[in-house]
Amino acid sequence: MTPRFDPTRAIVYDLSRGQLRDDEGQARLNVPYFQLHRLCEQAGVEATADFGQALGGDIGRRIRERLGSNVDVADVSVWTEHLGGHLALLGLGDLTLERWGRALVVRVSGAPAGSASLLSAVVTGALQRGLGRNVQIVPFEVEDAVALLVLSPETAGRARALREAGESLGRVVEQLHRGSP
Amino acid sequence: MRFDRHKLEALLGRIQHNMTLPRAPGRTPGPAPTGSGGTPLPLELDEPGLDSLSPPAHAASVTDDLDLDEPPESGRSRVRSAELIGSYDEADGHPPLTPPPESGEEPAPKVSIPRDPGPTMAQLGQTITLEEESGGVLELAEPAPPPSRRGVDQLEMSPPQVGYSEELPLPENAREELDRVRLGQSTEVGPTVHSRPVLSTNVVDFVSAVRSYQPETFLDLLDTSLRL
Repeated sequence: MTPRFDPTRAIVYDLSRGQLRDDEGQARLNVPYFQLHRLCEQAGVEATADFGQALGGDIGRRIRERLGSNVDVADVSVWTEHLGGHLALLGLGDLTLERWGRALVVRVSGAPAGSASLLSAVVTGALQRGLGRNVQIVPFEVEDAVALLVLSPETAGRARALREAGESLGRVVEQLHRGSP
Repeated sequence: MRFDRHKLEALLGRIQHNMTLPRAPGRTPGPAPTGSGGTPLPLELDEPGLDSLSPPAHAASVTDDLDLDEPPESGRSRVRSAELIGSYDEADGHPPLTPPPESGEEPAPKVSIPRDPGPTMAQLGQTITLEEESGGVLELAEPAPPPSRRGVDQLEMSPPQVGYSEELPLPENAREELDRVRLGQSTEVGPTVHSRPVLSTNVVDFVSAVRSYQPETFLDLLDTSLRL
């Protein structure tokens, strides 16, 4: 049976000691998002991507350990529950997984404003560490959510060019389907 | 519980007799207030008297017997007994209905009071029995005549004396109203428009083309997306 996501005691506030710790005993820090966003902007794109992928890598490791041998055979709903649960624990929004034809889209609603780059890096790190795939994500801001198109590094460059040309997510996916065998 | 009329009449007679007797002078439990020279000061009616500041003497003697540590119910019964004793006026010459609880030897007269005695005969007045009318015919007023069914062209009409100005502007929808009347349509009925729903063309295009693909696992979907 596939294990469910369990957020019990995922984060423990030890007020007597003034410490935050997760279920593995690692120290945590609760900081305002605005301050973190400002730090990421000043640190640059590469540093922000590295920071986000490190966060996502930790999520992928936890999912892999939780699912065990079921990690490769788990269906979409299982990954929605686990990956979305860890994102929710970080305060990065509500995750849903979508399939646009053959393309995988991770949609996150309720994320803090301006966190599309950080979200992309976190999901990239989680999928790379959790499933061992080299992925790149092209984010699209759609209404009040962020749609993360999961692609290979080779295809991601083409998708970014289409996005920069003003194409919407649907048009980009359509173009990718026409160009693929 | 039955209604004992004789006892109640005797009680009513005693109450009426007591009302005719002169009332006993008011009892003041303490000495009258005096001024510095010993002359009594008149009490204002609006000001609280001394009896309102200190309990009556006989009531105080009864309240001395009250046990404040007793439960509220027993304490309340004693206070009620003290009130009955205090209301007994020796000038009336009638013993109280409820003997003091300290006596305990003389049984109290048993008074039965009905729960709902209902109104008395004096309150009800004289009841008159009406004879039932049999076979009576009611005469109704003559109904009003129906309105005239004459046609509109038969009505008497007087043309307006005041004319209208030729320069009055026409209403904006006068032409439309005229067309509707000529077409025999009601002014409240309009056309029902069914608009075609707005569709997203880019979604309709590729969803229909890849409907057959169903990934079994998340890893399968990820690998498929990476092959685009």
